[in-house]
Amino acid sequence: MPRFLLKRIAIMPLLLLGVVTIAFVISRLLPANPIASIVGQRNLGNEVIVAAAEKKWGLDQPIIVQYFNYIGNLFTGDLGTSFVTKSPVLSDLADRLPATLELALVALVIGAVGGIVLGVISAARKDRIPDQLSRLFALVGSSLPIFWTGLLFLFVFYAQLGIAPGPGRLSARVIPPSHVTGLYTVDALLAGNPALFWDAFTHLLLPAFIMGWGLMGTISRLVRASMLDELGADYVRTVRAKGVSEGQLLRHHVLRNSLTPVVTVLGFAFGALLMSAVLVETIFSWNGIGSYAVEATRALDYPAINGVSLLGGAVFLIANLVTDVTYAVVDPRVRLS
Amino acid sequence: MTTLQAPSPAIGRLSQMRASAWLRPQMIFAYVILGLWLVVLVAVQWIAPFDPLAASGVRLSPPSGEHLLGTDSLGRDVFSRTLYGARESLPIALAAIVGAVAIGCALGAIAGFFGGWVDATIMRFADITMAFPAILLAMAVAAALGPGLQNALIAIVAVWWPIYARLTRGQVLSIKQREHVEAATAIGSGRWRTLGKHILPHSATPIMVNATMDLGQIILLVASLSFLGLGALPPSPEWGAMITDGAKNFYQPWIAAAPGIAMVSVTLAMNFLGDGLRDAFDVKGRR
Repeated sequence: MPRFLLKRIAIMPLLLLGVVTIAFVISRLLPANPIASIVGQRNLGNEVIVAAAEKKWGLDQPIIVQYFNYIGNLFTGDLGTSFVTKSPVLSDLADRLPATLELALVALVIGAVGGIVLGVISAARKDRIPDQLSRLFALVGSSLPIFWTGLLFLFVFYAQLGIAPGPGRLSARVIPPSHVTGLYTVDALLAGNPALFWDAFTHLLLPAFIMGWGLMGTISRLVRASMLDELGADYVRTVRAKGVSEGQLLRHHVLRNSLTPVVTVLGFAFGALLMSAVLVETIFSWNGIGSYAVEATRALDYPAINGVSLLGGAVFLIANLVTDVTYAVVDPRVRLS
Repeated sequence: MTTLQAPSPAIGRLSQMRASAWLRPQMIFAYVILGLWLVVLVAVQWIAPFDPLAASGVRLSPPSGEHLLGTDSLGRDVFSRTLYGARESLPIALAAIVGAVAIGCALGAIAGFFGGWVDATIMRFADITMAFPAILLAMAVAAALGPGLQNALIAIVAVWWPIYARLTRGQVLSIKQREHVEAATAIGSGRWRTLGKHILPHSATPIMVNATMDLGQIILLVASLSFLGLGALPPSPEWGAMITDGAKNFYQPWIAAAPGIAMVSVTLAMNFLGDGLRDAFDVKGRR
């Protein structure tokens, strides 16, 4: 196992280098010209300004030189400077990450809990109405265009019923808690401000539910399949023979053994959540990585796009590694090689 | 080498399938919905009451007898636009899945069959591509190429092929070991012929099932790119682009409702179909 781990960790920087290289190639070899987003449309005709900007941002150098400069800077922790915000990409990402992290974590909890509950209901009432309904619910979740569901939920729960807060991380005129973790709910609790916590928490619910709903399908399907597998095992007959009730059997014996495969989707779940964050953050005016990515692509802000790609790739690779290791720890039968 | 093998469930044939799986309520629902959209695709010019690109009424008017689903911010009929939207969204999604399957399968088959450095090169490239969050890569490609449905199509193929490369490679690796392949090689079948005639046909079923399940996701991805302004451009009635218009007119919910429901009906039908096919052929989903 340590050898496997070392191998996996050693290959990660190479994969990340690949990700960065692809992002770089896409950004430099394709027709769009980012200079417009640096100097603004109306200065495009002014050769002096354009030349000065190209020199300042290193765009006048040959592409291969730009590439090695970029890679060299990466090793010093310098991800370049955003064309649009004019501040270092690394600090932009650090500013935006907590918002997305908070959203993704709540979504992950909703998706996991919802998925497990649905999966258990499905398996316990296999092929009967509850099974059909919970499978339908999960399938609907993965069929919905997330940006449309966001609009729909905002319209129904915020505009019509008035039971949910509007877009954003906090209500208007509410001052964010002082920065400790950047997660507003946690920071509000640390500051001992329950009203602020509640405000931040309720703002999380709609977007996080929409993101989590998509995950429920994957997770519930897995839980259902693995519980049905377990229910056919010999020990289940023994437990039943002892006179243990069906509910107890499911809760104490089968469910516990069926949850291992859920770990395997964690990596996938993180990737999927990052993907839906892009759309959900746009709809809910959420100041996170997803909306940063959208702003960056719209402005052809390549340092920022490359930075987000690098972050996304890193999250994905780490999540996959953690998944594999957790899987081996939870289930001793799995051999990593 | 000579041990008996049970027929792999992955190469289910029509005769081996559970017939009932084709007639489940979900499958019937999928046939009906997809059938209706097929009719719309073919005959939309006779079904839609108005021109999808021209104003035909008062701006932002709610649903009425004349405009069944109301009008949008430019006074165009939302019902007609939604129907015409099928012609924008569906063919692009279909082309994207065909492109991704074709490229992914070709590369995956070559990687699995020839092994060695060819395999290593192709699969590392696939790994790197998959390490990109799909939507970010698609956004970057679409942004760099400039908006437009064709460019969105290229972006999606660029994102989606590695899934099929992995799937096909796995299939080829396992089928390569079977006796009939050995027999084919023994009677002098060339490498490409063996791959094309004796290996690939046997891996078709799981690829088809996965493609069906992915089509729904790709329809969503096309719409997402359009929604972000990186896919279809105005005045196209593409569903994602229509929802963008709806988002700008938040208090006229009918504008976004129709294209959203249209999209959900198709993706849900595709997911039902994929789910049913998976059960029918007993193919393991890759997730």
